[in-house]
Amino acid sequence: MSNGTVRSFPPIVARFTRYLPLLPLERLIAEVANRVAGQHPEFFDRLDDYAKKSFVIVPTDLDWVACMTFHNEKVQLRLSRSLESFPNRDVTVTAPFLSLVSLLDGEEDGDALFFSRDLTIEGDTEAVLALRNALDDAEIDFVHECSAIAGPLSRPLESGGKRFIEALKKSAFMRGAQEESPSHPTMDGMPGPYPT
Amino acid sequence: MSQKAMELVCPAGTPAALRTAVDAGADTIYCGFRDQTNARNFPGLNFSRKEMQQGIEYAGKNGSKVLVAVNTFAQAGNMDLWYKAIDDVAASDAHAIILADIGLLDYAASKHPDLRVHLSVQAAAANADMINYYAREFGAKRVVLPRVLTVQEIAAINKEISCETEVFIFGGLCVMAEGRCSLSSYCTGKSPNINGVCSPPGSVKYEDHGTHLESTLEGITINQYPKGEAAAYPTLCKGRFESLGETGYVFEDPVSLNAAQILPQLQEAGVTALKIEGRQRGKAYMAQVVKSFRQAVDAVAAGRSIDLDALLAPMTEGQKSTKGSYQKTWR
Amino acid sequence: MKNTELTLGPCLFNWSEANWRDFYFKMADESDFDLIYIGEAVCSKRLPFRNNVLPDILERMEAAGKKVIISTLALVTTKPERKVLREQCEQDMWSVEANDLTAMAFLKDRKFVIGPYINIYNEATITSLAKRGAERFVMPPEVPAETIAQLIKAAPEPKYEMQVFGRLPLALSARCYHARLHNLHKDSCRFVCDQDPDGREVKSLTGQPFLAVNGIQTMSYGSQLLLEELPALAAAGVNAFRLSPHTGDMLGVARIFRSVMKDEMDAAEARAKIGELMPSHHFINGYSHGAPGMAQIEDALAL
Repeated sequence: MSNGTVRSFPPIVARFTRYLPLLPLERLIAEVANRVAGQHPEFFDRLDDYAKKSFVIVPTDLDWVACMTFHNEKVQLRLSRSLESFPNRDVTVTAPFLSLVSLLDGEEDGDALFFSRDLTIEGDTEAVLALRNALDDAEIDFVHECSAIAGPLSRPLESGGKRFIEALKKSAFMRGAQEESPSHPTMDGMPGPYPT
Repeated sequence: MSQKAMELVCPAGTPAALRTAVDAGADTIYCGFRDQTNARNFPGLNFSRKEMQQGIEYAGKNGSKVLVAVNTFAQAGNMDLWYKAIDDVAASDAHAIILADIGLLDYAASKHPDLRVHLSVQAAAANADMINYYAREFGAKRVVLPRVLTVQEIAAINKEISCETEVFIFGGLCVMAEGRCSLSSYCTGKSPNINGVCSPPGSVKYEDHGTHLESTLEGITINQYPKGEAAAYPTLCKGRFESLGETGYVFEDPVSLNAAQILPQLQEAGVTALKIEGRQRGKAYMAQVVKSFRQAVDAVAAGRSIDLDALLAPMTEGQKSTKGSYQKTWR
Repeated sequence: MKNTELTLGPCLFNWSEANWRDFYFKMADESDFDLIYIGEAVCSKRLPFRNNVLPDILERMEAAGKKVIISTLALVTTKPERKVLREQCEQDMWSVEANDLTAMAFLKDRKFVIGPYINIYNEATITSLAKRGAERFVMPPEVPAETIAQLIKAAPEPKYEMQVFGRLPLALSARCYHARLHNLHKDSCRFVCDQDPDGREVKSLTGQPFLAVNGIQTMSYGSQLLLEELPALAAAGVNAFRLSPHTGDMLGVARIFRSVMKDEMDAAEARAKIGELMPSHHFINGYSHGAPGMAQIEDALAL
């Protein structure tokens, strides 16, 4: 398990992403998200009433934040340079970008990330839990889904993308977050260590 | 010398987690319906009736069994929700139902005499007399033992009873006798017994105070973490408190149970099944834990000596764990 | 409320043998409780001290014409604990309050009381246990008054009792917290819980009063005080109100409750007077209102 191996992009990446045009990126991600949602109708069942909430995702090592909503079984995404653009957010999840991707893929344990304080949550804790559980059940393969919209190029894009992310995770280029905060995540499960 | 391996019983909070646990080598999966009939009633978790049926089919195809937990205490005036859950389990291909409530045990025994019943740890059957009583009166075939017993006591119990025992080996640790704790409702109004939640997420707040992170439950400070110290979910009994000038973990440190080291003793004590806690944990965690314990349990059964520490290192690295009540000094 | 009983629950704290005996002598001689529960419910290690003086107490109670029920252990695991429980359940002089379902194995063909440590949440459980001899149910603290009212409607046969005064029992553990706080093992605990005859306070790191430790038991910091609620509870069919023993003037507290139950004193006056008698108590009533147990709810209880 990749507990405590959280890595962040160096500041230069953030500077680079500052110049990414947000609007096309917004459309791209929303398209991917809706494709995934279409394949997993149970995702919205799981979210239940929490689909009415707005979730703001803050990649600590990039220069934009995302706000996601799930009204009427449709994923809506807005990107912005600043958290202030989403004053009515119900939830704010903050973590390095690649941790967020691992979380989405179900490769990384949300609890472990949280306990090691690589991931922080503000706002409606129940809503975050619902989203986390719904995502965990949806078995999303981030790179695969992103590549899929490239049509005939999807296969090479996917394998290339996966190699790239793996390389990134291992790369010396990434700053290890561990050195700054020596953390010892506990395995004391999320809510309630009472049993069945 | 080779023995029959102890049964590995693993949690699943979602269908994906169920498939993960089956693929990782679980003999048995336990899960619950998506409502307050089960003691892990958290947002986004658990199974619809259809998902349950699909899960049972998937497990069956791969040689695994499914247990359905209907292990909260039914609410006065609303018995039908629980009765319906029992009826649905009886009509399904689930291997057994896990029950805690006397009224529900009575209902299951009279309405569905062929339904295999396991006694939930929430029923807190902690000695042979009580276990035999449950077996005799309600036909319980297996008892999940509360985490208040030593290995020696478990061995003694197994000599005195006719039904099977299942014990927790890994995951969150209740420091109180299970099913008999109202700390959560005292603070938040919601309890494991009534609502299927302990220290519910809706009452949790984290606040960054610069020098430290503070976790609160319904406004009560449960812990403060200086910068750099790992945080934990503010489960009431694992909080840091003050008593007559002394500050610390009054009830229990934020540790989790890990009985890997004593698997051979548990086998020796006549335990039938080993249970992993954590229906609320993600499938990444599940895959790792189940896989490791699969190897450990098989090795113990085959009488092979194996380095349990090395096997479980990835899960416990940098984390505090305890053998809990299984060793007497814990008390 | 004239027909509602006033009862005295078992002393949950580790009072010295002499204090424990004197307390019950006094209750025998001077109180007017309808029922008095006596016995060690919390820790089996305290049992020998109780048993030294129990025969004298029971004799005194009998001489005073008091109705007595033997309270039994709430957490039963070891062989000696099972043996004690069996003996308590099989004697036929006094009725028994079962605080652990283990007692069911020994109480064949007897009438008995189900204590507050047994999970009673619905009518099916009540019917099932009543069928097996339970004739009175002391409700677990976390059950709201509204649920109790509903239960009484659905299963009116047995009697229902509720704790209306004193720290609430919240949890039990194999571990002794008193010993832990003194860096001792449970097996060599030196009975340090006797240093806190009303339990040892536990506060949050920010100084909020929260819980109390009593050996293997965790209790509320707040002390239950139901006064304004009594008429509604009695009207809903609750048969008995239980006071849980604390140090201080328990006879005085009992007299005040009796006055309120006889409509001779109003709740506000009673509250003020009990506050004077028990100055260190911080009163709560949350559970009965369906709120967090630690809360004090000012609204009237409507059932």
